[in-house]
Amino acid sequence: MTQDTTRPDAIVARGPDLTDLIDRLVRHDVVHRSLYTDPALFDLEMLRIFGGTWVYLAHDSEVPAPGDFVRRQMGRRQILIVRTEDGGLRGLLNRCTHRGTTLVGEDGGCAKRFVCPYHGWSFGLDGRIQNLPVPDSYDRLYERPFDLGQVALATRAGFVFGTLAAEPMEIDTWLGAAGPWLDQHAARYPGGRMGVQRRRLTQEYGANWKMSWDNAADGIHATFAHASYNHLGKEADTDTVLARNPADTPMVSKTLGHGHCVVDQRPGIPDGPWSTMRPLPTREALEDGLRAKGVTDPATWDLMTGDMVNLSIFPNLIFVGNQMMVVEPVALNRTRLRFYLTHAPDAPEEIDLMRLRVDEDFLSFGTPDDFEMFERVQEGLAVEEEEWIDISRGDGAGDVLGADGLVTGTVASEAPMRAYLAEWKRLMARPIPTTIRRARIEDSRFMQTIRRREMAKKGA
Amino acid sequence: MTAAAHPAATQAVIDRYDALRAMVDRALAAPAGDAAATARAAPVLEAEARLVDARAYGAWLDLFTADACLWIPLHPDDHPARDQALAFDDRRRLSERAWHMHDRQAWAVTRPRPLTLRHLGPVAAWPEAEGWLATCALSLTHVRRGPPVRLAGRQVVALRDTDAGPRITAKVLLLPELTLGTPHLGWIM
Ligand code: FES
Ligand SMILES: [Fe+2]
Repeated sequence: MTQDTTRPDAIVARGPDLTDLIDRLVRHDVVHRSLYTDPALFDLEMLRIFGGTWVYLAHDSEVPAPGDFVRRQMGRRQILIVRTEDGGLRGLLNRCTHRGTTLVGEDGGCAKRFVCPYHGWSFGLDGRIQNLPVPDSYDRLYERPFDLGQVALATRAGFVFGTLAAEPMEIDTWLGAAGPWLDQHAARYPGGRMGVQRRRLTQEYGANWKMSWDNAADGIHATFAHASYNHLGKEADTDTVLARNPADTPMVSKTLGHGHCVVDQRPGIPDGPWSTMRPLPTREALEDGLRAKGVTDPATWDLMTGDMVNLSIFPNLIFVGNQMMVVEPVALNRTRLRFYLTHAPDAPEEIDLMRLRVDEDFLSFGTPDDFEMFERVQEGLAVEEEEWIDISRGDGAGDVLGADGLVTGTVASEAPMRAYLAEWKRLMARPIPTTIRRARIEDSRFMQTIRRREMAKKGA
Repeated sequence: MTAAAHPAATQAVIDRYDALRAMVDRALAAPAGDAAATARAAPVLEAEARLVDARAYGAWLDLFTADACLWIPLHPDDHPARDQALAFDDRRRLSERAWHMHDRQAWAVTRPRPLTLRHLGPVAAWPEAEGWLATCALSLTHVRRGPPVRLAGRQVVALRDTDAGPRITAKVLLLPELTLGTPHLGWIM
């Protein structure tokens, strides 16, 4: 391992070994409040979780043509996901290698190259430095590592993940049992073609980012926290899935390894997802339009709403309804959620017109109540003397441990919480070796010079 | 895709969306307001803001026609047929918002109930083939729990004369802050 951080190929494991502390904080049946209240742990999360493991960054379809890029967040780092001339993808750090200026100020666009506005250095789509004004002002320019820093990328079913880990797990190994669920999600779109809306909705709550994970597979809260939304459904004679008695719903939650989990609501709705939809603006007209086109296939109608499978890929991707909800920690007690609405470009046009309106419903009448709960939990956790939060629900009381080590439970089970915290523990306990990739570290003249010097030293 | 390819019902939705976008463009590029049109429209805009702040939702809803809509795009350039929005409400959903604000289990908008203040800038309005088009800048303040939420923006409103006087047929709220992100806006209407 090259720990000299002045070298561009440095592999550095940052921060202390916290194995003992982490073991004390996360027990099998309880978790310590400091996971939500300790700024030092938050800082480490930005390194080890949002950097040391795979993080969802973008969907392949968002950058279809060479030069297309989107700007995304990976912990505290801005990453440009760029389609290169050869059709590949790069994850470039949005950070000029001269003094650090961010190269791009927009959320996305199309570029021929990235030119730094400060002193005019320019970089190719693959991150290589292309030009810098007054090059003679450097004594040995070839020795300087001026190509843009990059993260490693891997794609599954069009979903693009990135990491700074020096030796990341194979993406399919890391996704594990969640991989086929992701494939299944993508396969639902006609022609396997899923699109992502250019405009994303951004909302913030005043609480720790892990509240989203405590909530992601929490089937009980829907009946209580979302009581108002459910009553709206009743007023409209539509029994929303959430309104049912959680104790006798056949829905199941499953842990999928590495913190991922899924709640499958389909067993609870034999008539399919569309049957759960409330009246919505434009709904009647678009249904008429679909009927006029002779579309009767239930799968196409169901495509107007989510698939009733709540898949969560730790640490930052949660599928809800027609949206991908991406979790961006901003501060210990502040979290930004990005809602990316997906669409079905190869389906009848009515489908996407309807999808535009579907998720506004829950965002108006449901999501605010989730945020309210997260913020009130954060307030409650300020009590220092109440140190522990119970996470034992379901354990020995309904959870079924499979031969694969994964747990299936009722929607009341807190197995998904215990599972993501186990992954949190794995990542947080010890420093994770990370490295910045660069376009041509290995064959750069810089590296050749370094090697030559090292050989000379050995010879001497 | 050509317009002719759509069934009539679908086409009606698309036409409505196109008309809304065109209405916003018209208002933003219009010359100085027409005095007579402004005199008719301004009291309605004032009443709408005051009634919703006062939680007088019955009287507030009465200001909207049965076919009215509220559109809150995420970006001022967006199109309702192509872009995800914060809200696109028909009259039924508007009445649900009103109901929700009084529901004691709507945790995010009750106990304590929100105190809001909509402050309108000068109204400009123009006569249209049917009714009037009006616009004004506005600021919204929301106080409840935690820090106050303050938003500035512009509203574009279409009105039509009815037996009961001028009524709102469409309201569009342009809020630049939505492009960066906000706390939840469960109270907005
Ligand atoms: S900081 Fe980018 S060119 Fe100087
Ligand atoms: Fe929820």
